[in-house]
Amino acid sequence: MSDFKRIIAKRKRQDFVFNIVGIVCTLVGIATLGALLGDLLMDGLTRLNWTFLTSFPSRFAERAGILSSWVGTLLIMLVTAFAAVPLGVGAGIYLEEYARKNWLTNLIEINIANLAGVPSIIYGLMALGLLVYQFKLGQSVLTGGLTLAFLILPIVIVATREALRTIPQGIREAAYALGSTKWQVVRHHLLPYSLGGTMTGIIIALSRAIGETAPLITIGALTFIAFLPPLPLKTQPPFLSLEWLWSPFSVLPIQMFNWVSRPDQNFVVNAAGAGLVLIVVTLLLNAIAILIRYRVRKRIKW
Amino acid sequence: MRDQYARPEVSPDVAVAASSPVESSPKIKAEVEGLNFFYEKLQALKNINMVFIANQVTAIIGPSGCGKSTLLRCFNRIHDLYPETRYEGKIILQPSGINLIGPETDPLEMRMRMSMVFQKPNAFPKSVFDNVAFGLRLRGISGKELTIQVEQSLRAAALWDEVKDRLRESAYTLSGGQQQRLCIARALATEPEILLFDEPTSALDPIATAKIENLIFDLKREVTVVIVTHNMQQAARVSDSTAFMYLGELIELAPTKVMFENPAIKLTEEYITGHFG
Amino acid sequence: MTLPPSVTPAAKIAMDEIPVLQHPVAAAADLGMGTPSARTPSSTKRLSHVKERFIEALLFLAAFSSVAITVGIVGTLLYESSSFFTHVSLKEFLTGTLWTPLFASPRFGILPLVTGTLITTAVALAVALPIGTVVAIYLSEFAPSYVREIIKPALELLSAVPTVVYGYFALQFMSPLLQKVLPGLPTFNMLSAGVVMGIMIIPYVSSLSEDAMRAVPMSLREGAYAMGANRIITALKVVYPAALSGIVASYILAISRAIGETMIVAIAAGMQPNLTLDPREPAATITAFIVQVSLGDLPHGSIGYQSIFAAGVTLFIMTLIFNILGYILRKRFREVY
Repeated sequence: MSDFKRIIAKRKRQDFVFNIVGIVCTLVGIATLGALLGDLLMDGLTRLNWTFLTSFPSRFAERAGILSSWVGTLLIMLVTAFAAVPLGVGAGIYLEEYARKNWLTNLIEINIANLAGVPSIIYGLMALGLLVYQFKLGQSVLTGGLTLAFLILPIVIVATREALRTIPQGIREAAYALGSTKWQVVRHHLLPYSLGGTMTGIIIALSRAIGETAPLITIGALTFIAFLPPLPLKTQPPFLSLEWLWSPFSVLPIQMFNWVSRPDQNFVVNAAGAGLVLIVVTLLLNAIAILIRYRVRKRIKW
Repeated sequence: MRDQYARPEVSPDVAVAASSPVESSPKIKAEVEGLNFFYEKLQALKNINMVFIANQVTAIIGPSGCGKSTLLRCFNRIHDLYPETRYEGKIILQPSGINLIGPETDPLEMRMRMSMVFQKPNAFPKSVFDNVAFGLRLRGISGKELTIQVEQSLRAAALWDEVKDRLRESAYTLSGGQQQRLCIARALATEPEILLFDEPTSALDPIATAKIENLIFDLKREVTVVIVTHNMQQAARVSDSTAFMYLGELIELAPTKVMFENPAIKLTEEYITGHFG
Repeated sequence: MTLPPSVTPAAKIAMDEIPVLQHPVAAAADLGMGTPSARTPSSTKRLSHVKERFIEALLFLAAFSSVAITVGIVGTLLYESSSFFTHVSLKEFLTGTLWTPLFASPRFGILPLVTGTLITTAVALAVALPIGTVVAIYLSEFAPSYVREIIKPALELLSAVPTVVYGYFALQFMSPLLQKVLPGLPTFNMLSAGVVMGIMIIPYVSSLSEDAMRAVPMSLREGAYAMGANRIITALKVVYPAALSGIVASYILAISRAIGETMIVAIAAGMQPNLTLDPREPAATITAFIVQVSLGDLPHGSIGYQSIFAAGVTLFIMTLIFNILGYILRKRFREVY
């Protein structure tokens, strides 16, 4: 029996040691997050002011700002959302509600799984060869937006499918039993009920797209741009213009990349400032997504 | 009524420890005193008092939700793995006198003294050999000694002939009944003081069930067995004493023959004759 | 999750109970179409039928776009790099040790880029795999549930940070830090980039592995605990092997992610192709090279332009191999409880 005691004591020691090791390893990630934010704040907080947000980049570090970058990010996100949301949600609805179990559906599903694992820069290469040169869309906001839309498409599709799956089959059957067509069921029942989950997925996808740099550099986004793309709204008819789609552009992460790559240490502060704006926007979007998910879960309990 | 369930070789008087012909008085293996058990606010066991005789098979029967599995799982402190569970009272293990559920008792040590076979066979994703060896390795046994004990356990579980050429294959290549016997071998290997069975054959076909029942009957020579079953006929076939539980209380404890032929409590009789449950 | 062409029992009952006001012909036409209505004249029914088919076709096109994108990727890569390989022999490409496509006398051996990619990946995995696995085991088997509720989303935040910010962190924080430990370490090196990349990848490993381990049924654990095992032995010898398929899938995902990472290495590991196995040296990865070329102005169709597609093909094949490997391993290790 004393043998037992020895063995048991050893086992308890093992558990204790692993508890410590586990906590330490978990803290590595958290500590890095903290160090990262702390570093950015220390380096860049001083730079964050109204002039920084409203100035164009410049050769002089103190005068350089992120105006053209965040406007570019905004315009790109508009195109990305416009393209990715209908495509992604539509694909998700088709795969969940319409698709039959055949080889074609299998092919589509394998494809989506594969695309999720393709490095983002490959999307840039595809867009460069296909969209910029083959389709002659040029190195424009349109190309950039479409590239990112293709990139986040798998995320939107998966989010839509997951959201649709949480709706119990009984709801569908009740709707059909009342005489609805398939599209009516989708439009009047499934889409509204799954909206929360889908929105969460879309917002998370967009927050990823905002931080993407490599594919946009590849298609030829500019790193130094001292003008704004033409505004969508004009004072003369037809009041709405699509000229901005064809304009060259830059985005916030590319601006940060440009500044961080300079040997001149003065630009580090600018890079940190840009990084802070990026992180704040990313965290904000993630927080909104989580909030939506929480609110929706509270409202609808199947 | 008794005869159609009885095994022909069994002597009718089974309250006495039939395994030790020299002793005339039965030895007590475990005494349960005033046991209450709580899942958070819900009281699942109410003031249980009973004794378990050494080297005998004690069956615990009762309708779903009566607490029979809960009682069984107190013995090896498996409840401790889940939060918000609470014991009151004592389970005294003889001859050591330890209170199994006392706050000063180490659950890990208790689990080393008990073994449990579960309702659904839960063989580990390892080879047949490694499954049986698992408990032995935990106790520091290795090498030649290990191999010998593994073979002994597999023989005791009546599985050796079927697996002796397949020791290194995955346990999942065995049939359901074989896997359950593998779990029994695994449980036997560590020479437990009490062998706890939690509805061991409810997931098996009748042939596998019969094999395991024969096994349980033979095992009591070496070890004390407590078996929870929802199958009354199984209790009648296999056990020496039977306990009937209802809604968390012990209603009646008696030698099996007495329980099934002439129960003292009306509720017991109603359950046995199928009026409810 | 799709309704079969024939209606479900519930709908069928409802249809049977619709009052017999239907035109007998319309009623006959109803059977098997799934769009019953007592009051719709058949012409409107035909129109809505067309509309249904049209919508289904639109949705199908949306789903099929994923196939189109894959075709676009593979097609573009092959098309552009095919012209590359008319100028450069496959042998030189795969075995040459110098990569200088933009020089006056260019050399096209991709090995330096490949080693750059592999070494940074190796460093990242050396960080992410052990730490990620330990975190997964800790969260799944040891930590109380409130700890898990807080830590898991916090770790997932790690993967939400834009990679360019990580690049900044690697250059401005990690590199100087490592220089204190390894004096003489150049500012640009594969070690800083690899370590930061590894930390970024931790949630990929820990989240998926933990999900896989949580999915192992409790009865397996109870079997081990009932024999007197402690937590760590149950975790390592029972739960971890049982969850292996999911865990390996997460490892493969991490490898794929590390190979395809661009900004961290572009910023912190340097952009000079360098054939070396020493992580303390700077080197360019395949991805960093593509970025470097894209930053400049290359005439469409020039050999420099085509070289990024050749590099892209190499990258694509590498990640494809790992994705397929992950798929095969998952099928082989599928555990049946």
